[in-house]
Amino acid sequence: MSAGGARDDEARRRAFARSARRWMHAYPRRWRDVRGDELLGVLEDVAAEGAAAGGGRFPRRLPAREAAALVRAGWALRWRERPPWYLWLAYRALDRRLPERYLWWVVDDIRGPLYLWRRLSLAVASGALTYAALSVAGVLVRGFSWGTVAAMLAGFLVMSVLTRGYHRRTAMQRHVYDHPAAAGARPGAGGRADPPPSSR
Amino acid sequence: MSPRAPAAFRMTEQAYLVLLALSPEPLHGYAVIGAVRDLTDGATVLGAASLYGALDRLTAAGLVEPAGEAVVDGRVRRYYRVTEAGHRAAQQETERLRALAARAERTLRGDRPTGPGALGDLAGSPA
Repeated sequence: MSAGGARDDEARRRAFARSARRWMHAYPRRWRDVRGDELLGVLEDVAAEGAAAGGGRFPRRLPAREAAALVRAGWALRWRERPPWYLWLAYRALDRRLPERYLWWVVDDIRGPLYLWRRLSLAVASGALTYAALSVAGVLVRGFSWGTVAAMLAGFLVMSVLTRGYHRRTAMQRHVYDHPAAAGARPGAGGRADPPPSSR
Repeated sequence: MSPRAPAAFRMTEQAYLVLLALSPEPLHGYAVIGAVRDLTDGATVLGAASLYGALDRLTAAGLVEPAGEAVVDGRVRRYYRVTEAGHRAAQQETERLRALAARAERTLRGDRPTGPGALGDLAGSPA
């Protein structure tokens, strides 16, 4: 193969890897950290075989079917590994610690984007619902006003943006570092070498 | 992490094929795809995502376990092997399929299945 051909092949492989890693975001962050390279290797092997068999060049992007399968499998894993709804509710609404086997899920949750939205949306929703219920019942509140709801939302938004670092730090402290079983778990650095434990 | 009893594991066809592929010897991901293709004579070609879905479920249920890694071409290859429990589960499923195939053959040959609810009981004898 000419030098130019090899370079082009290399560029295609890099583009393919970028595309595959984008689609792999369907998987939780920690799974990607631990197993991502392995999965990428298999995807590349499959693509190389397909290219060789079809006589074509190495694909520049992940094929649509594989991408769809990745999305499906990634979200299925998220669904399988999440804590049961009553534990989840206690965690979100009452800030209760989750059992040890969900520690990695908690780390993903706290470090993930939109953490504050996830954490506070329950409070915002119940606040809005309470307000609506009270106004309908004519108790304490003089009629329903969208303006009030908007003001509540805006207030929450501002406060959460201002305090997001604080929330993340305290959540990490309470749910991970101070967890009774956390002696062996190091968040983010992949301290637990085995795959995410199943919840059931 | 305690493995679940195999009975609690929902044995899908893909999981079963992966168990079979790993039974003779530990394999890495890409080799499992090839082994499954050979096992099914080309009928089933697993995608990488389906393979990892099955592997994750099997590992969580204690039927499969990681068996070391190798670095090839700068790429990590993790090997997997079937556990004792996984071996038993594969045998159980094979037995179940064999019994099913035997019953299916009898049915197709025209032997009515015996037991309550068989058509012969309900129809009664012609007057």
